[in-house]
Amino acid sequence: MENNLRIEMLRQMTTSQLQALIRDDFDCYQKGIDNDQEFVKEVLEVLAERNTNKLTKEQKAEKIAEIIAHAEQRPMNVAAPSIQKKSTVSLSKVIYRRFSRIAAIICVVLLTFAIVIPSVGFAVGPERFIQWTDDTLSFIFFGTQSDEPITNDPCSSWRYVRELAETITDEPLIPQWLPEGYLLDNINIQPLPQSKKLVATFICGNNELLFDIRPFKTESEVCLLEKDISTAETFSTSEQTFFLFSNNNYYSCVWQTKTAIYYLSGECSFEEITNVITSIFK
Amino acid sequence: MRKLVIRIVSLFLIFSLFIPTTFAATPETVAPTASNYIGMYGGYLTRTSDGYIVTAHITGTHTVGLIGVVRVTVQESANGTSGWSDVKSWIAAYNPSMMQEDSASHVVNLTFDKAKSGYYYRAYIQVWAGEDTMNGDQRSFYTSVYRFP
Repeated sequence: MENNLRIEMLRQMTTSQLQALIRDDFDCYQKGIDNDQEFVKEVLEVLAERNTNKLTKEQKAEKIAEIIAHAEQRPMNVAAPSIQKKSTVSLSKVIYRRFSRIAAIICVVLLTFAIVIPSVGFAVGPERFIQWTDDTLSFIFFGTQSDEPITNDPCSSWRYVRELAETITDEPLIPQWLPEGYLLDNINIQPLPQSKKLVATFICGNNELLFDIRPFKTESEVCLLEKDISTAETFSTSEQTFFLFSNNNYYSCVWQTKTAIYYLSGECSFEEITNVITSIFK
Repeated sequence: MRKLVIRIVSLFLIFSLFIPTTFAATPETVAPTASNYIGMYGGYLTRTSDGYIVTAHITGTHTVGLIGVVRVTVQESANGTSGWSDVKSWIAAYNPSMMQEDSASHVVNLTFDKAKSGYYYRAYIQVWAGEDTMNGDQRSFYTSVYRFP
């Protein structure tokens, strides 16, 4: 009865207070002072109850008995394995929790791809990355890069246009000069049934110079050019004839080879357009 | 006889007064119409096993707010000269990819796959370039005529 009352009192105490009692008992043992073994057992029993309140009655009984058995071998013997076990459990819990999170993330990613894959996708090929949506298919090449730095001067701009134009038509007639201040802004390649069309735009402030190359279809096709009432002029070299004309504020030039039609137009002077086309043969 | 000659000459002179007016009117109707938005445009048909791919392209004078093909209609004729009838149409309002925003050019490739052997085909194409759907220029033209074998 007295023991039960004492246990009830211990149950009223906080866990830290109970732990302090155990520490006092351990100090007494180290100092060689005799202590109340029964009281220590009761304290440990209450602590064990608190630690095992989620277990079944049988498990609780086993746990309490186990703790008491260890306690009888003195606290020093109990402390080390107890801490080791606790740390092992928490580590496995941490691993389990992380694994659960990683698994959840993988599931979400896979689910997203399962939903999106009909319209969007990607693949990696040799030296290229292929990406597609409903509207576009992009090839991103990641081959070895040239040591030559990229500069936006007229020569390198036109050289870049030439490299792309060579993929569209044989021996493209590409200028090499740009009016002062013009820089390459954009190159757009558009699909045609049997080839591609290239449009490069160069800008200088608000002014724009536009260069268009379209492979010529051998069968008949209609191609119309806008011009104002002023007369078109021709400019001929030994190899090529160019047609120059104005379209309101824009000067344009068109020429045709055996394989492609070229169109140059910009809000620049007639002389500048002429200089651009004469630079083809320099 | 003399009177007859005089009358004929008089009639010719009278009618000749109208001739400059007629010729003056002609350039106005078909005069080159310069555009601040449209530079070059065109189209053609490319034959496939069962029809044609209609290609329409337009290049602006510069990068414009809205550029593209407003309408494409494939027409069919038994003899290639008359009796043209519409067999298929595409309108930008229902095919947004026919127009492009903030671009200097646009190309549209449309597939018509119900051509009849021995019939002639052409396409009527309307292109547009401008700042938006209200401010800009529109041009219309027919492609060449193609006979489907």
